[in-house]
Amino acid sequence: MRLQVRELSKRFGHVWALREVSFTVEAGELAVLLGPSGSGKTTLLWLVAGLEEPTSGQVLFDGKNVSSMSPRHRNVGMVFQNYALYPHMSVLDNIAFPLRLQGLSSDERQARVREVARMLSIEELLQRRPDQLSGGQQQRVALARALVKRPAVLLLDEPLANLDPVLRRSARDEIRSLQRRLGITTLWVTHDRDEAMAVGDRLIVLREGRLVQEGPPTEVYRRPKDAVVATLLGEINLWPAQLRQCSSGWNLWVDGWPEPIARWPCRPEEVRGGDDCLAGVRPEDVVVHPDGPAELLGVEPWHGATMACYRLGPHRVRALLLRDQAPATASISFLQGSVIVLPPPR
Amino acid sequence: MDRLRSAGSLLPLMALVAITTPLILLYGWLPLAAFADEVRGLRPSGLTLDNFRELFQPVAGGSLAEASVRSLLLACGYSLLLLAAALPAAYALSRLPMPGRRAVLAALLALHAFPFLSLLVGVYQVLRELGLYNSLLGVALVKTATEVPLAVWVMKGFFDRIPWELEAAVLVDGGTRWLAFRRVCLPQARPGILALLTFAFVSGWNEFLLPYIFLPSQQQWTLPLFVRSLIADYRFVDYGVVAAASLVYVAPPLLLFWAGQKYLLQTYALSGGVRAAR
Amino acid sequence: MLLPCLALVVPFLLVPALMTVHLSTTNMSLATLGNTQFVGLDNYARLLERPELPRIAVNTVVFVVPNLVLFSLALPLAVAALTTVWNRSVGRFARLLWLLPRLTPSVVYSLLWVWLTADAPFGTLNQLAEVIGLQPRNWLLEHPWLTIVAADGLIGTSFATVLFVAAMEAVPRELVMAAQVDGASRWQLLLHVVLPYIRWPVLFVSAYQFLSLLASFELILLLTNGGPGLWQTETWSLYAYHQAFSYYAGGLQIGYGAAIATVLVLAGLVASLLFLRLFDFRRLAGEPRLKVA
Repeated sequence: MRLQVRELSKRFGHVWALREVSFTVEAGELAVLLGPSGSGKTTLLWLVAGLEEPTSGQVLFDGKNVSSMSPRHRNVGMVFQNYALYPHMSVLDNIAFPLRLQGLSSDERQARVREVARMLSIEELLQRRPDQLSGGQQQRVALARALVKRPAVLLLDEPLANLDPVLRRSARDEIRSLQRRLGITTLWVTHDRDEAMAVGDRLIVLREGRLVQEGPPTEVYRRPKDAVVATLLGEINLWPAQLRQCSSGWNLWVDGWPEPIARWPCRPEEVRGGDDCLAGVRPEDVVVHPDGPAELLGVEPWHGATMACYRLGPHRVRALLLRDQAPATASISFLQGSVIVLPPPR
Repeated sequence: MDRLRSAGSLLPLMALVAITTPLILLYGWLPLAAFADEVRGLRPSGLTLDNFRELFQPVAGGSLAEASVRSLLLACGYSLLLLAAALPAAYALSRLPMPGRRAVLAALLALHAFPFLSLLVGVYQVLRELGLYNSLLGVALVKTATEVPLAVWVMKGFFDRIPWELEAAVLVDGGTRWLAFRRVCLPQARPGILALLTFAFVSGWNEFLLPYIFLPSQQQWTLPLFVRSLIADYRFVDYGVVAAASLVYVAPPLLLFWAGQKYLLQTYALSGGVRAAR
Repeated sequence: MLLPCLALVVPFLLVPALMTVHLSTTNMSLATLGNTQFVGLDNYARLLERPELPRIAVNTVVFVVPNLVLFSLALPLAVAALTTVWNRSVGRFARLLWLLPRLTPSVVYSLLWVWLTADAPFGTLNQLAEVIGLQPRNWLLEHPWLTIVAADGLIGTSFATVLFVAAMEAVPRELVMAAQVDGASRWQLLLHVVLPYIRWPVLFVSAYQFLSLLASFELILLLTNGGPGLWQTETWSLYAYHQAFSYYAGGLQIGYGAAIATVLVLAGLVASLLFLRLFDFRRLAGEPRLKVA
């Protein structure tokens, strides 16, 4: 099912939680809503689920406007951050609950529950109660409950947030492959950037209620719209810079460095109204050769590699080195095409 | 429940109105009768303040003012006694390692289950022995004794919730448990204490049975007894005056509740015994 | 720490309780004051022989059971549900109104009911009856039980509503949302999620009100004093009170009254034990974490 959100806005009292957000998630796609707390991701999820009505704008399921429909009629499945399992019911009854409300017979319910339980490997847990389950098990039960009704869209509210870090990786992969297999349109809310990058077909970045950027994760990573998005998605070096025209096109000059660091035949469109901008290079794109004008300031272990910090002229440069040794002095260059140009900070 | 959207349909609203109407019928009469010459059902005729004027004239057997003062004394005295008895006990039973803790708690629960009725004669004897018969103090003591078990259980619930780290910090800083009680637990349990105080005051103010039985002489009467004396003779009573007296009598608890409602409604229901363990 | 509490409870609760049991085995009364003798279980035997005994027992059941089920459980659950799951804004006003019976002094409360049920043209109910076209009557005198149960019931409703409302409001928000997403209507939400969640307060109210009703006689005393006919609305507790303290019933039969009361106590104790088992007492009592005294 194709999910569309058009100019969606929501106000609580005087506070605008969402402002004119629009995007489309194609059938079977997994879209990740990424943003800091307060960015409106959960509000957006509630609006899609029908738990709140929009102040203005529309939510469309396959072109049909469902904005004022109550959750009962929308056929969405949702996994809540704290799982929200009914404490007084067994796991089986928890999962069967939506089916029971639909009026399915006991036999049909049993069959469907077992089918879903098998898919999520929780068959042995069916007779237990929620308080007898571990966090990971509870999450799978919550997922089962959401999926058992074969929903049109699946909504996940920070599904990995309450899991042990050790468990997170495997849970993440499991949910992802399950989603692919079932082909359900999915919205996944998170504030964890690694999770967002790994899981999504499409990334939707929210900030203070507005949609800042959306697209495939690698695209947003390589071409962030502004410094905040760039930092949100990963480590990045940022330096004040200027665009200057030259004979063969446009050069990017970082303030205080003698040579331009990038050249384009046409003026990059990311910068408008003036030549001041920010130059960005990700640490993994920095190339370090021993001996040169850059001075090593310090090193830091980084996920099995080494993050080295150099001083070059008036700025610091962070470089990700796969080898253990960072040379005390170095000459710095950047991989071809890796320089990102961003609008100046406001 | 705050996330639920407002219900549209009329049926539940009508059900609520239907259920609540009897209350309005019941209570509506009171203010109407107090301010009117005569009331038929709920239809008053003639607005007047005469009923109130008559009230303040001394009636044989004490006046409204004296009875009110005594009710006030009883209510205040009882509330303070209850706090003084229940708070330390609740703290001890909730947070101190005491042998026989469970036994005492169980005994308190069992004693609370004793109908007051069955204790009447015994209480009468004890009061006589102590020379507290026909005295306000006696009534206050007895009432406290009957209510203290429930008060202990409710306050225990509040004390149960206080994080252990806070007391531990006091001990590490060099204080005693008693200090921890005064400086940490009491302030932490303040909502519960205030709620208890309010309910105790209202309960003391409203108490009828105990004064009825143990304060035989009119000089010692509290307000409920006074009001009742106005009704005593069915046929010749002036219901307007009675209503006026009742209104005066009912006013303080209602005002107290109105003032603290949101707050009290929350804490009342957190009564510990039921929700203690998690 | 426990001293003040014990100082009160022992002389005013424990001692009288023991005394009552002791008294029930004597023949203390107005006649024998100063000359009471031990009579063993005579009082109890006498009790069993009284012809009015079955009537009183039935009265007690008639008083306690409908009161408990209808007014301490069904009605407050309805009010609580209507003001939390359905009408929340109007509900706030209704909840305040429902506080009234519990807060009203018994003297005033009984007066209100007398007025409500009084003869025409004064009684409110009869005024309404005339408007609708029903026969006016003195409800209190003609249907005493109806009036008493309703009057006492509303007090219980007042008490229980507060507890139930708070319990319902405490249902976790995520659970309510999950049920909505699962497809529940409000009614289904109430039935499948809210009611099971508030099992404990419901149990507590049942236990507490049962014991309370068994022993209460204040309102009946004020409304009908056991009448209007002989023993018509006399419950067990009122009977005990009358026998022990009322002159017209044969002169302050304290010993006999004590025996009647003791039977009630035994019934209450048995009920308490049952409820304690239901409540899982250990969990309620808890364990202190700081073992330093």
